[in-house]
Amino acid sequence: MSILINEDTKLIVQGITGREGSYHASLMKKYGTKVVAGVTPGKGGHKIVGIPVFNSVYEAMKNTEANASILFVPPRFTKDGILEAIDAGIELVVTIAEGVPVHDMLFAHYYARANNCILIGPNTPGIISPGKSKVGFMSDNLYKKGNVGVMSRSATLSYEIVNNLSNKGIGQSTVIGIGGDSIPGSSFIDLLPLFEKDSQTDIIVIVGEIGGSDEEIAAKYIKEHMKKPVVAFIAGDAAPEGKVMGHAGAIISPGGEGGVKYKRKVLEEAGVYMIEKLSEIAKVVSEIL
Amino acid sequence: MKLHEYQAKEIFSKHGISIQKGKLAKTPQEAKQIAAVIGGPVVLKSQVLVGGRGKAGGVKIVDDLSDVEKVADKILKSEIKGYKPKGILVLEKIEIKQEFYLSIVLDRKMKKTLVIFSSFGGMDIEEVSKKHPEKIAKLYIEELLGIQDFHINRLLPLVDNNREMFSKLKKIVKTLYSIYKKHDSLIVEINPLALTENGDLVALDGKMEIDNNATYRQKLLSDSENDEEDPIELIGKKAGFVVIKLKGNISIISNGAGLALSTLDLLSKYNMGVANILDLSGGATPEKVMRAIKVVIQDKDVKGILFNIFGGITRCNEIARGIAGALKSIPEDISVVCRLQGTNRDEGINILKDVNLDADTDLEETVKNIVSTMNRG
Repeated sequence: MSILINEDTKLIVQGITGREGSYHASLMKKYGTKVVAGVTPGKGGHKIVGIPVFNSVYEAMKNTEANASILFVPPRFTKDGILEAIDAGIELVVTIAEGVPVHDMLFAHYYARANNCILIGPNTPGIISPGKSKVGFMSDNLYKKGNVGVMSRSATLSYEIVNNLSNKGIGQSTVIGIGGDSIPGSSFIDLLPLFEKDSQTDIIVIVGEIGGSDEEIAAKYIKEHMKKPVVAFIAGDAAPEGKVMGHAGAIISPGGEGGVKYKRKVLEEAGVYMIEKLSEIAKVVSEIL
Repeated sequence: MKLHEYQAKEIFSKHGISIQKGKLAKTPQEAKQIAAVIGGPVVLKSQVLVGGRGKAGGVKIVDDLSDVEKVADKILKSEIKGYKPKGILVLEKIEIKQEFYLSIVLDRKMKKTLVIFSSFGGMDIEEVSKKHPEKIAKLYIEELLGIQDFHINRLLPLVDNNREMFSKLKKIVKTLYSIYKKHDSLIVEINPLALTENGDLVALDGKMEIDNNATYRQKLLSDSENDEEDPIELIGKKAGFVVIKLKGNISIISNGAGLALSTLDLLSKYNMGVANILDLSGGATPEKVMRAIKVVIQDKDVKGILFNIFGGITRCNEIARGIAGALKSIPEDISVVCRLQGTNRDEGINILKDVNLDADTDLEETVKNIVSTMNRG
């Protein structure tokens, strides 16, 4: 099966006339993704690598049967682009930009939820279900179809993990970049239930890092609800402690929450297999399978 | 980006929150003039962006106006935790009946805005939280709902149901929330919020931190007043990079924060210290790579540069062109090792081969390589 995207996903590329938008629209199409439309205000009627361009997501929706959208638009226009896609009825929105204001994402996060839209990103390489569809900019020759579901906060570390797996002949069901920002559209906990239900996925790999509480929240969910095995890597062991502004931060996260050691501890307690080095991933996964 | 007290208070005042009379002074003479206008006892407060200013001697009450110049001179010359003050805030001293704590903060974990109020202000709020949890109220605000009267009404018992004062407090909470939103804040804090003898509520201190991703639409402040970074971090910031200064002599240049972090982890497993980390982020051009190299070689601690690139939107050949182009500008005593993987890897490796640089594709091999090079040299 795979999660979020498959061979039936019909994709809109918002910002398709930009440098990255047009380049990656053509690469996604080449990979086999059904890219049905592009959107750039004022550029309606053109074609980019054979993909019709519309002035708005509404127009694109009227003329195609799109159900997903990816945004290659600058951070300052990202909120508007996300809201437009949700308002037009898109069910899955992936936003690439790095540097989106956090209050913009806070609103978009809840607006997506209120409208049953799954929002992925910002600051993500996107999603790929190897052999079926790619909604993002990752280098697709690294990926191999298989039964490992991968979620990562860092784009580059997800490449690292996938590269290690594929080199040892272990394929992936779906690989998702959660994104590195402090308020992501979706977190580990939102996607774990989808992997648990997915018949193609037999094992899940979580790639986390220092800061925030997404790993801790996921640990609780894994302990209580997950039957499939979960493997995790947490980056940032050697990172110095961040500076905390004001006193409010100390009130919110007592007890070392956010630190690598704490994350490892709670994940281990939840029955997650922890790896210390990225290069161990293939060995650990094949032992469990 | 953190704001100085005087900047935060300027914003508070503009929105109708009362502050003490006073002004920012850049010199002892200016401090004296401002104090003369105020005309009574004054408080002199060093403007630095670090906490614990009072305990470090950065806040002084001066009763005799003839002492102002001398005290101001001392404060201006005193670094606090290694930071030079940007000036002195000269304020009228006011009589206080009670001190409250009020802050509005973005709670990343809950993905909500949190309003924190305490009737025990002035002191460490962590302490109050531990010793008198009943004196603190935490109000979570749903993003799509925004702050409503019913939220704030929950603070009424904390001010002993004093309705007259509560109506003033309510207004301040609402104003502070709108400042928080309008200025893309991660935190806005008033500690203490003072109840004066006349029954007014006055912000005696002000802290704000603005989301760095939103500074483009918060043009009210000039950046140079708010620099708190290490010099090399600052050089990086001006060149458009996030640089983190650490202790050691290897510079890590990477195309993602996660990759940089795990490179740091791996180096520390080999007991190698890292001088700094520079994140190129996605899609770097050769010019950007050259700019990055120019930044890190200004860090005198750097004796080796480790490039760790796993191309996605970043193309390895573009990175390699940047490295090749800047190679001559790198001092001879700095060794360079490269790891290229992902998009256009082989083109990148060939470009580096032409300038006699061997690139690895495996991260651990690259780390071992720089470890042995550095230990030799």
